[in-house]
Amino acid sequence: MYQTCRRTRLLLLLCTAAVLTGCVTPVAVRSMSAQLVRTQLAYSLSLRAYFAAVEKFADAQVNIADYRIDEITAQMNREFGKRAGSGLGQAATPEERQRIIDQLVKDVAGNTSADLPLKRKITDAVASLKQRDRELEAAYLVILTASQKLDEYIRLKKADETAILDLTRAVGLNSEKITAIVDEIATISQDLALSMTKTP
Amino acid sequence: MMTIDELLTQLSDLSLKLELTPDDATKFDLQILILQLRRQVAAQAFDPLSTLANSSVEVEQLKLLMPQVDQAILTEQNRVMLVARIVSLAKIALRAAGVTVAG
Repeated sequence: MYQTCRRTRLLLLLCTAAVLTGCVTPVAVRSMSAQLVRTQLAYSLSLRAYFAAVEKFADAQVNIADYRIDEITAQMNREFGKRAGSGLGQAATPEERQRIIDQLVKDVAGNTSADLPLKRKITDAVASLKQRDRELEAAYLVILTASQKLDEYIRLKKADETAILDLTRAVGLNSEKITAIVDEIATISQDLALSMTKTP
Repeated sequence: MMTIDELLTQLSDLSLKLELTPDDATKFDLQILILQLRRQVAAQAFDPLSTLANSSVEVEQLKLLMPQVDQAILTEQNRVMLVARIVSLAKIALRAAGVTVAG
């Protein structure tokens, strides 16, 4: 009976020594790591929704800009038409009239084709926005994956923890409790160290 | 330096002042110029989007480091298996020696 008690105490001592010397990840670190991954995951979903809303808004703005450009172009064409009409009224010869008509056709064609580069510029700008959104999404996915990997490592049962777990099982103690106790010991030690430095 | 918006405002003001004057080539040219500028302004509203291409997030290093963490996880898992096996063998040996060990 006395021997069993001694062995148990010895095992407990071994456990404590192993816990104190081993690299058991503190509970607070594990919790924060898991929470960080959850937060980043939620953030990535918000980011995707945000990009989708901005892109919808940009698409609507493209339609409005196209409509506005078409409207201005039509107004300019009307101005060219008015000028040609006025010129035709004053033209004395058929050649002169033909020259005015040719000029009108040229002006209207030039004016209408001037729209295309502007509309292309707008389409390209919005396409670049969408492309950047995809790049940022992809980059954030890499960041999230890296966080998940780190979390996986942090929450991984380490070799020394396995040894401790087996030892603690032998004496009927929970390794999580020991980890929490070690955290408390570390906090107390820190408080002690601080109070010692403050003491004159 | 005058912006396109400022120029457009000034030209529009001038066009209003000329409203009652008889039509001529310069008045026509002014009207066309104002309309051209309005069209440019409509398109220029999208210019800020072109600056987006200048910003980037560097994640290549993370991509390179991730397989190393994978390897560290694998190594640790192997170590865990090894330690568990050693502890298990030690328990068997202790029991064989007559020591009572739980678990």
